[in-house]
Amino acid sequence: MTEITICSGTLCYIMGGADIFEIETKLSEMYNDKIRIKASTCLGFCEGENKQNPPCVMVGNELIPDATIEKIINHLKRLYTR
Amino acid sequence: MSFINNATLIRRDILSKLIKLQLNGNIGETDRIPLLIRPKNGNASRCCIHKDRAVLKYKIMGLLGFDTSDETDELTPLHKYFMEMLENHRTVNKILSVVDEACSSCDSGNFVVTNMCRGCVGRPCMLNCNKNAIDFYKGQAIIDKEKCVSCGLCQKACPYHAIIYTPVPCEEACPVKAINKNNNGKEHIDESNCIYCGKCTEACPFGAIVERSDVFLVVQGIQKQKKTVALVAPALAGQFKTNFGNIIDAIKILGFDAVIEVAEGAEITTQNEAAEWQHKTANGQPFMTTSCCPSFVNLVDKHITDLKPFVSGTKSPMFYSAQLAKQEFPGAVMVFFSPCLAKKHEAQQGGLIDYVVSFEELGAWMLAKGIETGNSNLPPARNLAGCDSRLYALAGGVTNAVKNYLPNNSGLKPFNINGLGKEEVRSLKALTHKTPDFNFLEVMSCENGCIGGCNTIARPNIARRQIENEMQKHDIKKAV
Repeated sequence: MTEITICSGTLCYIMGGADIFEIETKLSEMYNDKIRIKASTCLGFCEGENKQNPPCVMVGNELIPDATIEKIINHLKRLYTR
Repeated sequence: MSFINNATLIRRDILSKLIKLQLNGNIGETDRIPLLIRPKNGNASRCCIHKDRAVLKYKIMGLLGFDTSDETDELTPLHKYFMEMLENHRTVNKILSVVDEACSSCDSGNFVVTNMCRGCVGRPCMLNCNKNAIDFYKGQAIIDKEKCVSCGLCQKACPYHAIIYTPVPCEEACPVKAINKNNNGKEHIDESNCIYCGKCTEACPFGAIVERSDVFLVVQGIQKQKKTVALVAPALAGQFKTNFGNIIDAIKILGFDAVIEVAEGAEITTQNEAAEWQHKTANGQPFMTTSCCPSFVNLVDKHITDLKPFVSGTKSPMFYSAQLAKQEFPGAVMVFFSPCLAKKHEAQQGGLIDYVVSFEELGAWMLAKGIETGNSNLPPARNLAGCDSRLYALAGGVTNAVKNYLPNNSGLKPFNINGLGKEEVRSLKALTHKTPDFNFLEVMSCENGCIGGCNTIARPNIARRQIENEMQKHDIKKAV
């Protein structure tokens, strides 16, 4: 089971994060029992030295900055075809 | 709402940067915003960062309520406009302006032959064109724009899909032909035809159509300790990934003295709408339409006046909420939190609401002030509104509320128009010439209803689910 955590801190959420929740409707059925999508309060990647571009999404333990639905799906494909 | 695009994200970025400067008393820094968004040696969207920066400057002017015609001296710095707006409490009636610098003057060639054309022997494009508009030059088809009537037959006939349709997105999206090119080839909005549906603002991929923002005047009022009341549209409940109660909490942290759910006013709309429908149909009127979508009301007022007698005279939930709020908080500044710009126009006409702040502006404001929506399990503000009133946010919501309010449905035969396009406008125009097989017509200018408004943040289907879940979670009473 892989958890997709979409940062819903104010910055990530209004700068594209809100649109990433649409991923549910775009994932292939093969992921149905492999994936859980959840929202999170600010993950904290918008501050500090290693500041990342919003929106930030975690796929498992891996961070996807400047995330798009396409980037997440490509990442999942790599994870599950290994 | 439309697909996410960079023009939308840039607008949100500008808004939050402007509000942040205002909150920190750094308005003098406004001129830096174009440089921050398009830094030296960074990437440009247009020909170069300098053009991008110029466009950003004019977009900021548009947000502040100034358009190109207000610019008498090109060297006037941005912060002067910002200060003038705040100091003189400058409000203009104009809601939308086209930023000439940003408008790409999209070619309205309509049908174009691309280089996928193989100059085949069959030449079905040429043979099927009734206007003799297609010729062949160096082995490829070309369309004579003078003769072409944009029927699209050549496109259908071409086996190579070599002929494409090139739209002008804003003109295509406008259901009432209110946006057209001026003599300079730039788009221009004809306010006398505009119904403030906001579809052009969503459609333009250059973000050239800018909506005036009043959020700065609200921020200023709160800074000056004016008593300010927020009236929040039911659609707000689905806009952030948290409970409605937490969203309301965030608004209070922005400095509002009270937050009132407009769903409370929707209770009155439902009662009046139901009573009016019963009265009118009993007196032989074949059907009645809803009136809470201001864009639809504008459509009827400006383009389908024959339909006017059929539109309900009942006021919108915003109106009744504002009336209630005026009694409860006399003298307070009334701010409506809105999913769309049509409400801004309605508020300007109505006089009860002082300012309209869009959901997008709320998000930018929260960002500027560093407010995060919590994840505690707060119930909605006062919980005075029933389930049906909260569903006004969704297409079909008004119908549902009226239907549930009427005893045993009372013979209500509803029909819904979910989203106004050119096609829907045509069928509405035809409506007055025949007796339809429904007697209650709900019209929502935006697909999905208010959660699909042009200034929303969340996707409509996500927002819908969230609103429905919210009601289950807090066990909100079913009916009034």
